[in-house]
Amino acid sequence: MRGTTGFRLFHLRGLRVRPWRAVLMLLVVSTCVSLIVATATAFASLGRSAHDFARAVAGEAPLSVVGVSDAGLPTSLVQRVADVPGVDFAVPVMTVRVSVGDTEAVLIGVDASAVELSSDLEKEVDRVDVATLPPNGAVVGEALAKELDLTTNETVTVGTPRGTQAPVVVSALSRGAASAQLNGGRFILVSLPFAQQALQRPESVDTVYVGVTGERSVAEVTADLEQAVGAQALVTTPAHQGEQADRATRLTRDTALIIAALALLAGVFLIYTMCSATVAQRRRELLTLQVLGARRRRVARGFVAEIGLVALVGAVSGIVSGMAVGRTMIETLPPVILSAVDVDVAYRPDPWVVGAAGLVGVLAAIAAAVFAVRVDLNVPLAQAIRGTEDDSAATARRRPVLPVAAAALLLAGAGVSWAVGSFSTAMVLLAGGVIAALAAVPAPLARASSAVTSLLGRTGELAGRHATRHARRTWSVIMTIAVATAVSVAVQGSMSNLLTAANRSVASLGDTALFVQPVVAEGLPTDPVFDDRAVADLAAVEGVRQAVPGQLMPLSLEERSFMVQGAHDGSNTPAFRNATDQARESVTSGSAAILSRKASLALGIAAGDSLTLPSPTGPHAVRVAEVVDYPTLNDGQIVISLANLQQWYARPGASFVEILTEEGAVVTQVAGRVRDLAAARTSATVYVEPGQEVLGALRSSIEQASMLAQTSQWMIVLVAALGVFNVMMMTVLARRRELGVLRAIGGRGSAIRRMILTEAAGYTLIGLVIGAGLGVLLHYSANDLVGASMALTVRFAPVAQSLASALLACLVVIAGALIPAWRASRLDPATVLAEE
Amino acid sequence: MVYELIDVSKTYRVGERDVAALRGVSLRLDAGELVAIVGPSGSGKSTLLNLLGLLDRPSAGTLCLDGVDVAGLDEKEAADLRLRQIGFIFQAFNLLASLRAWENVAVPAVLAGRRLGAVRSQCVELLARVGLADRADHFPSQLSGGQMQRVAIARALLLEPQVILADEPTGNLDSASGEEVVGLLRKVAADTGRTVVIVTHDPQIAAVAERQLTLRDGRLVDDARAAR
Repeated sequence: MRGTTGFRLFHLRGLRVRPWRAVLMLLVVSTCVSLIVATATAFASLGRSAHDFARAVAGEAPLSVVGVSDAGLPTSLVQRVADVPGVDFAVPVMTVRVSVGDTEAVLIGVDASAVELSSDLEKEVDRVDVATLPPNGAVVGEALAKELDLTTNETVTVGTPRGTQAPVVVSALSRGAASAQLNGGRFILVSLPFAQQALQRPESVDTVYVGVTGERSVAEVTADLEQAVGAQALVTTPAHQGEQADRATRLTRDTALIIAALALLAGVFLIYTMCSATVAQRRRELLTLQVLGARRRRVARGFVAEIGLVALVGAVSGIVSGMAVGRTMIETLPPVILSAVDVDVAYRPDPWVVGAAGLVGVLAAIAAAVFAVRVDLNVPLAQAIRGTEDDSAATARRRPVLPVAAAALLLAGAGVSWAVGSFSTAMVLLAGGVIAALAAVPAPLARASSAVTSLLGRTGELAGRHATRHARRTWSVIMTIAVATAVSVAVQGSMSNLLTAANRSVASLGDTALFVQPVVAEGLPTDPVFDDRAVADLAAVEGVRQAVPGQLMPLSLEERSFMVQGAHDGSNTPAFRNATDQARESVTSGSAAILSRKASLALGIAAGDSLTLPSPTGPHAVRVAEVVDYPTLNDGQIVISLANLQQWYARPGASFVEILTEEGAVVTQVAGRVRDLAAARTSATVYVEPGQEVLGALRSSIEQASMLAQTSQWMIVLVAALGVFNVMMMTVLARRRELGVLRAIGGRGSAIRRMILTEAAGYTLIGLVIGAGLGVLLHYSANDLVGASMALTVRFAPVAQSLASALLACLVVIAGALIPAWRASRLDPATVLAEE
Repeated sequence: MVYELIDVSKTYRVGERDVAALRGVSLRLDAGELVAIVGPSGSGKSTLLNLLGLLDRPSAGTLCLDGVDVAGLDEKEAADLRLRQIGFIFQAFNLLASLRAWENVAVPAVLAGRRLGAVRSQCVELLARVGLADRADHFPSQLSGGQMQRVAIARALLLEPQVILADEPTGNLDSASGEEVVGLLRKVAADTGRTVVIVTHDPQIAAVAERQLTLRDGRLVDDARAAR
C-alpha cells in the first residue's frame, strides 16, 4: 500500500466501521499513560517548584553556600566567601516561608548586592531599589497583593516560623513576568536587616549566592570555598534544594511508577488481545489485499500504523487527563511530603517526562500490534479464498526467543539470589522469567484453561473447547488477568505489611498524652518557640507529671537532607523510644546518636561507627549507638541529646514539648490548661495535640501514601476486566453461527449466557492461580522497595487481604463477560442462520 | 501461451504424514481461453488455482507465467505480479465492507500507488459495464450477492490483467445471478482476450467453458475442449 490513500481507505475507514474496539484500545492506552503522567509529574513538581524558585533568585550564579541547619550561616562568613580568589560576587539572601493573614508566602531578605545576580530577583531589586526602602518597607508580589487586596502604604503583619509577628509596610507592588517567577508572585521582598530582625536571627543568613570570575574554574573556587567555610556551611549549587526535594520523594514516586508500569504491562496484554481479535476479524480482508497484490509487509505496516494512530490519540488524551490528575494529586499530597520544599508547590509538568510517557504508551501499543500481526496474520494466503476462524495455523510457528528469554531470566534470578543476596531483584527476575516462560507455551496454557472450564459444570465442557481454538488470544487474556491478580496480591500484601511495620515503629507516640507544638498534628515542629521557662511552667501545670522538651532541626550533610532530633530523657518520640535503654542513656548523656535505618544507609555508617556532625560551632563527633526503624521521607533521622543540639547549633529552647500526665488526670482538662499557658508563654500559634491524634495523623499520612498504589491497583483490575470483555465480545461475534445453531436446536438463552460466563471463569481461574504465584514473588520484592522507601524493616507475611483482593479482582474481571454473555443469550437463531 | 505447467506437484505436511494435493500436472493455458477446472472435493482444484494465482509454490515441477518461471519468486515479486497480471474473483466476494462499490473496484489501483480520485471515473465505467452504474456509491451491505460478485469482477478487471482466476464464483449465488456472472466472465474472455480460469463444482457452469480440466486425486485426468 503506497501513500496515505491506502492507509485512509483500508485502515481509517475500518476504524469508522468498528469504532468500539478503537475506543476501548484508546481508553486502555489513555488510562496507562494517564497513570504514568500523573505520578511522574506530580512528584517531579515538588523538586521543580523548589528548583524554579532557586533559579529565579540565583539566576546564573553557579554556586551557593548554605547553612548546615535551618539556623543558616553566620554573616561573618559572607565576607570570607567574598574574599575567596575567583569569587565575583557573594550575595547574602534570607528566604523563609511566613504567614500573612490567612495565607502563606515567602519572605525574601536581600541587600543592595543582589543587583549582582542576573535573575528575576535582581530585576525586582533593581526596579525598586531595595536600598531606599524604609526599615520595615516591603515589595509585595502581585499574586499575594491581589489575594489579600493590598495597596501601597498599607501595613500587613507577617508571622514567622518562630512565632513572632512583624508589621510590614507595603512600599511597592511588584508586577510583570519577573514577579510571577518568584514563588508565583506570592512573596514579600524586604531588606536583609529587617528580615534578620523579624526572624530573630540578627547574625545569620540562609544562603550566599556566589558568582565566579572567568579567571578560575568553578571546581577550583568550590574547593577554596569549602576550605574557607569549613564545617559551618555547605558549598553547593542553587539547585540543591530542588535536588533534595527530588530525593525526598524519589522512592515514593518510584513505587507509584512501578505500579503504573505494571498497569502498562497489563495494558499491553490487553491491547494484544484486541489486536489479535481485530486481526482475526479482519484476516480475510487483510489477506484479500495481499491476494490482490499488496505486499505482506505493507499490509502489516498499515495495520500497525492504524493501531499506532489510535494509541497516539489515547496517549494524548491520557496526557491531558494525567495532567489533570497530577494537578489534583499536588493539592492532596500529605503535608509531610509537601514539607520537603519551602515554597508553594505549583504543578509544573516536565514536557520531556510528559512526552516520554506518551511515547511509552504508543510504543507499547505498537509492540503489541507488531506481535499480533506476526502471530495472527502469519497464515497461508489461500485462507483468504476459503476463509477461516481457527488460528491454529497462526500459532504453529515456534519462537525460540521466548524460552531462551525465560531461561535467561530464571537463571539470572537464581544467580542474583546466590551471588548478591538481593532476593527482591531475584524475585522480580523470577517473575519476568515466569511471564516469558508462559509466553512460550500458549497452547498448553490454553489447554489448561480448557480443562479447567470443562470442570465447571455441563456448559463448561462445551465452553472449554473454544479456549484451545484461539490459543494465543486465550494466553493473552489469561496473562492480563494474571498480571492484575499479581498486582492485587503484591500491592495489598506489601501495603498491609508496610502499615503493620509503620504502626509498630511509631506506636510509642501514643504513650505521650499531649504534644505542644507550633504546627498541626500532621506537620513537623522545627522552630524552637518554647524557651526553658515555658517548659518549666508547663511541667508545673496541674495534672502534668513531666514536660519533656525536644527539638527537630533540618540538617544538610554530605549533600543530603536529614532531620536532627534533640531528645530529652523521658521522650516517647519513636526514633528515640525504639532504641534500647542503653542506647537511649548514651544519647542523653551526649556521647552517642541513634540513627534511623534510612540515615544509616544514606551515610553508610552502622552502630558502633563514628558520626561527625557539621555545625556553626564546628564539627562534632558522636558514636552511633543504634540503628532503629523509623519512617521518614527525607534522608533519615539523627537523634542526639537535646543539650548538644541546643549548644552546637545555637538553638536554645524546644520546638515541641511532650506532656506526660499524672495517673488519673483528665487529659482534656490538662490540655486546656496547657493550651492557655503555652499561648501565654510564646507569641507563636500553639497547637496542643493528643499523642493518639499525632499518631493517627502519622498513620494516615502513611496510609495516604499507599492510597496511590491501591488506586492504581484497581485501575489494572479494570484493564483486565476490559480484556475479558473484549475477548468474550469477540467470542460471541466470531461464534454467532455456532451460538445460533445451539439456540436453534433448543439451547436456552440462559444456557448460552452460562456458557460464555463459564468460559470467562475458566480464563479467570487459571489467571488467578498464575497471578497469585507471581503476586507472592512481587509482594516479596515490593516489601523491600517500600521498606527502603520508608526506612522500615517490612517483614514478609502473606495476608488474607491479598487473597480477598485477588478474588474481588477476579469477580470484577468476570463481570467483564456479563455484557457479551447477555448479548449472546439474546441472539435470534433465525436471523443468525439466515445471515450465514 | 499464458501458463505452462510441466510435471507440477504439490505436497502438504499434515501432522506426521505428507499429503499429495497435486501429482505431476502438466498443461498449457492460452490467451483468451475460458477454462473450467472441475473435479470432486479434495481432487486438487483449489491447490491448482492457488498455484496459478501465485498464492502458493509448487513442491516440484515448472510453472511459467508468460514464459517466465514463477515457481521461485519471493513474496514481494509474487505480490507485484499478482497485482499487475492476475485478477481474482472469490466465492465469498471478499469486498471490503467499509468501502463503497466503486472504491472496492479501485482497490488494485490504490495498491498500485494511484490516487483514489484519479481512478473514480474508470471504476464507475467498469461498474456500468457489469450493469451496476446506479450502485457505484452503495456499500457491500446494500448490495445483493450477484451485485457483489459483479463488483468483484469489475475489481478484477481494473488493472487489465492477463488472467482472471475465479474460485467458485457462483457458489454463493442463486441460479439467475450465477448465470449472469458466468455470462460476464465469458464476455470478458471473448471481448478482451484474457484467460479466465473458473474452479467450479457446477456442471452447468463448467459446460459454458470452452475447455474443461478434470482433476481427480491430484491428477489431471481429462482435458476436454468443447466445440465453439
